[in-house]
Parts: sequence; C-alpha cells; structure tokens
Amino acid sequence: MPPSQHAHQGGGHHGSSQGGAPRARHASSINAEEIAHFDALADEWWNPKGPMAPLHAMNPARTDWVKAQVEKHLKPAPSQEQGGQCLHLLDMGCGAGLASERYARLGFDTLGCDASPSALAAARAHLASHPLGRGAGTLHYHHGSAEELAAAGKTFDVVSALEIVEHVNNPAQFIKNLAALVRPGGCVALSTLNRTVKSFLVAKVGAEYVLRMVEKGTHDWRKFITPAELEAMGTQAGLRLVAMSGLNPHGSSWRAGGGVDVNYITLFQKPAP
Amino acid sequence: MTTNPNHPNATSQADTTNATTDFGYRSVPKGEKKTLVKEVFESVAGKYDVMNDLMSLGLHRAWKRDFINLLAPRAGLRLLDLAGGTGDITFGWLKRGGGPAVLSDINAAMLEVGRKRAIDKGLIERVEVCCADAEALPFPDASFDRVSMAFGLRNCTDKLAVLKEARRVLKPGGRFLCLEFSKVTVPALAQIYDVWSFQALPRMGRMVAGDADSYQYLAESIRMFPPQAKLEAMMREAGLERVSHRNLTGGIVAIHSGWRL
Repeated sequence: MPPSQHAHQGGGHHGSSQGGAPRARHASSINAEEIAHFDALADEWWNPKGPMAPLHAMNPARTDWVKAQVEKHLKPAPSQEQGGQCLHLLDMGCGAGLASERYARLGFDTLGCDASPSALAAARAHLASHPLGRGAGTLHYHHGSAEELAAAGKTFDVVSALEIVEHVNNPAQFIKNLAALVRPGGCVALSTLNRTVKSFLVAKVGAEYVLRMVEKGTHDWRKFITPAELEAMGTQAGLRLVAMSGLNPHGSSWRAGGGVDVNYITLFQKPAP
Repeated sequence: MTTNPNHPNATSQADTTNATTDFGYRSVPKGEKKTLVKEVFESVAGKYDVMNDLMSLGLHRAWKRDFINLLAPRAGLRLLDLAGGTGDITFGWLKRGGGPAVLSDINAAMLEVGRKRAIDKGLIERVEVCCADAEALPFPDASFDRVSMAFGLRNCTDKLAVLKEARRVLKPGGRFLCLEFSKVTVPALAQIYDVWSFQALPRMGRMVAGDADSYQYLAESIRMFPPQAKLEAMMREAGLERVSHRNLTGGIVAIHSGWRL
C-alpha cells in the first residue's frame, strides 16, 4: 500500500535535532524520523515507477473523490455565494506535491505545506517544469507546520491530509490542528489505512516484504487507525463525518469505492455557526 | 398481571387495565420495565456480540442469514430495523444490496456500538441511526418497505403497541418480520435447551461479561415470550395480514411474518 506521501506533523514530543541544533519554534509537532525517511526519497517522488508508484496510481482516485464530496457538502462562505471564486485548499504534508498539483488542476487555489525542505524542493522543481495550464487554480508551497499556519491566523475552505495521520505521533492533536485551519462550513479530507488483519497482510507484509512495493519500515501497523477511531478524533476536534469511501486497486489504477478494510478516505465538515 | 414461572410460555402481554408486566420471571410495575431492560443492555452492550455467539453456539448467525433472506433486500427498498442494537440485521441488509436503512434502538449504549460498527464497515452514509422507542416511533405513516425486529420484541413492555407501530410505519405492500426466541417443538431438545439456558448461560455471562443477572434475565425473558400461535394472533390484532411463522432449529427461534396490505 502507498507509503506516506509526506513528512508529517502531529502532536507529541521529539528529541532535539542532531548535533544539538536549535529546534524550530513548532518542532514539537513534527516527527523528525518521518521527515528524514521521506527526505531520502525526495528525488524519487515524481518517478511513477519508483518507490512512490502506489501513490501515483491512487492519486487521481483520492483527489477526484475529495473534489466530488466537497462539491456535495461544502457550505459556501458568504464571499463565495455569488460564485466564480476558487476554493482555497491546504494540502497538509504535501511532500513533493503529487496531490497538490492535481488539486490545482482540478481548480482549487492550493497551498502545499510540508516540513521536509527536500520534498518541497522537488515539488517546486516539478511545478517549474510542468506548468499547470489554463483553467487551473493557483499553487504555492510553504515550509512549515499546521500550528504555524494556525498561529498566523490562516484558514481554508478545504484542508486535505492524505496518507499522513498514520505517521504522526499524536493523531488526535494533529486532527485538532487541521480543524483549526478550516473555516466554519469548510471540509477536512483525511485518507489513511485501517487497522485490520487484512491491512496487516496487504499493506505491511504484502507491500513491504512480499511485493517490495514500498520500503521496509514505511508503515507501522499499530499506528493504523480504524474509521471509528478517526471519527471519534474528528468529533473531539469539532468536526462531523459526512462521507467515507474505501480506496481499492482497480486494474492498474485505483478507485474510490468498495471495502474500507485497507485504505479508506473520509470527509469531515466543520459545522457552520 | 402476575406471571407464573411454572408456565414458561405465559404471555407477557399485560392487560391494558393492569399496572404490572413481566421482567423475566418477576412481575414489575409497567413503568419500570423500560428502565430495567435499559440497565440490562447497558451492562451487556460491549460484550453483546461475543455473548450472542456463546449463547447460541454461533447459530444466531445462521438464523439472521435466513431472516435477511426473507427480508429480500433490494436497492429501492427502505428498511427500519427496530431494536437493531449492534446492527447485524441492518448491515446484512445493506451488504445484500438493500436500500437505505434506519438502525433504531431505545438503548443508546447498544446503538453507539452499532453506530461505530457502521463507521468501521464504511456503511455510515447509508445508515440513519435513531434512538427511538419501538412503542412510539418518531416516523410518519407508510414510510418503510420493510420493518425488522430481531431478538428485541420480548424486551418490550407493550408488545401489541410495537406491532401496531410497525404496521403504521409500513407502506401498503410492506412487510414486517420478527426473529425471536420461541417455544421449542422438539421435546428432547427442550430439556437440553432448559439446562443450557438456566445453568450454562448465567455462568457464561459471569465469566465473559461479568454479569450473571443480565443473562439470567435474558433466559427468563425467552420463556415468558408468547409462543408461535399467540404471537401470530397478536400480529393479526395489530392489523397485520397474511400472518405466518417459520420455526428454526426445532422452534428455539421462529421468524414471524406479516404484511400491510
């Protein structure tokens, strides 16, 4: 199953960085091991046959599902009621921008945010050589964390965090951070891996050890999250689950639909006042 | 109405002028039964599915499968699953291609288990979860194609009121199906079943759920439930038509069927 696309934010504490270098102001939310892991893969992000191949395969299914569900559930902000304005989307933990670029091409004004400088360098380089073209939204990248953006008072119509939540130290806190970044009436999209016997066999044993689709150690099955657990975390963060779907292989690509026992994607909404 | 423990199938359908009803073999004021039943199911909610397997030696799965077959799920049909608890019937209906379902139960603890299971199965968008009393349903007339009730009717105080409500919310041409413990029709099986219910079950309840009393009540409530013919008569009295029943496993359970025509 897909490795995380990203370097990740989440609550929890980490030791100081190597060599006693000063920690970033919001470093408590960043998992240093995860960043190092995905930093090492920066050059391979955009290789559709490389270690990110599963992510390339599932990317259209995830982003298309998010767009369709946002169109169905998002309550327009007062400024959007006349229509014609692009929705602002934050792709949290964007890595090298696989989802960010696609979101922009789907018409969202997109901000990709990640804590990995090398992944962001790969994202910017790819964008420079692959312009978005007509009809796309804007796309910018930002190095930082969810807390930094929230502290700066940023809010978005849609916050997306795909294949991240299973990598953070404190998923509940991470989801609270995301909830702080979405406006009332807006949506939070989360995709992750379910903690089932099937997901252990498929995503851990199968993908990492048998098929060698992803690097060994990419996933920790114990950190996978059941849909009910994710829903409870969303509720604690003041969000309401409005849509859910399995993400499953379909020939050489993926599709939204079918069982949720391995990969699944959810849409939460922040209630409007 | 005081019930006699020596008549295991004495009806629990209290006369409307009477102020008492059964709670297992005890006679309690009518107003208290809901609270007592609520306490039982709050106590067993977390272990309910495990205990069902132990209580029935896994047979409840086959009984429910037969029950869902009779419900005949189809995409255009809407189901109300009364006393649906942890959701087995609702999920079976949806898995078999049934239309939208309302999972309803008077007990919030049981319903919360069902709601979480619906989320974990990825079915929550197709299930409306509703905490409701089956004796006074919050739904308009003629709003469901199927009404199901599995192992819930015996816990209701006013069973006739439940049956009338089921008929009221059914669309014309809709069907009510009830899966419930009934009167064993095979004498040799009846003796084994008695030993199982009154000796083994409460002990298992103590070991698995830390609660022998609740399982003692469940065993007693089975004995106090109306036998097949009596329940058929009550269904007709409630206005259901083409009423019939089918025994499973020698009458340990029966599926009762009635239509709103």
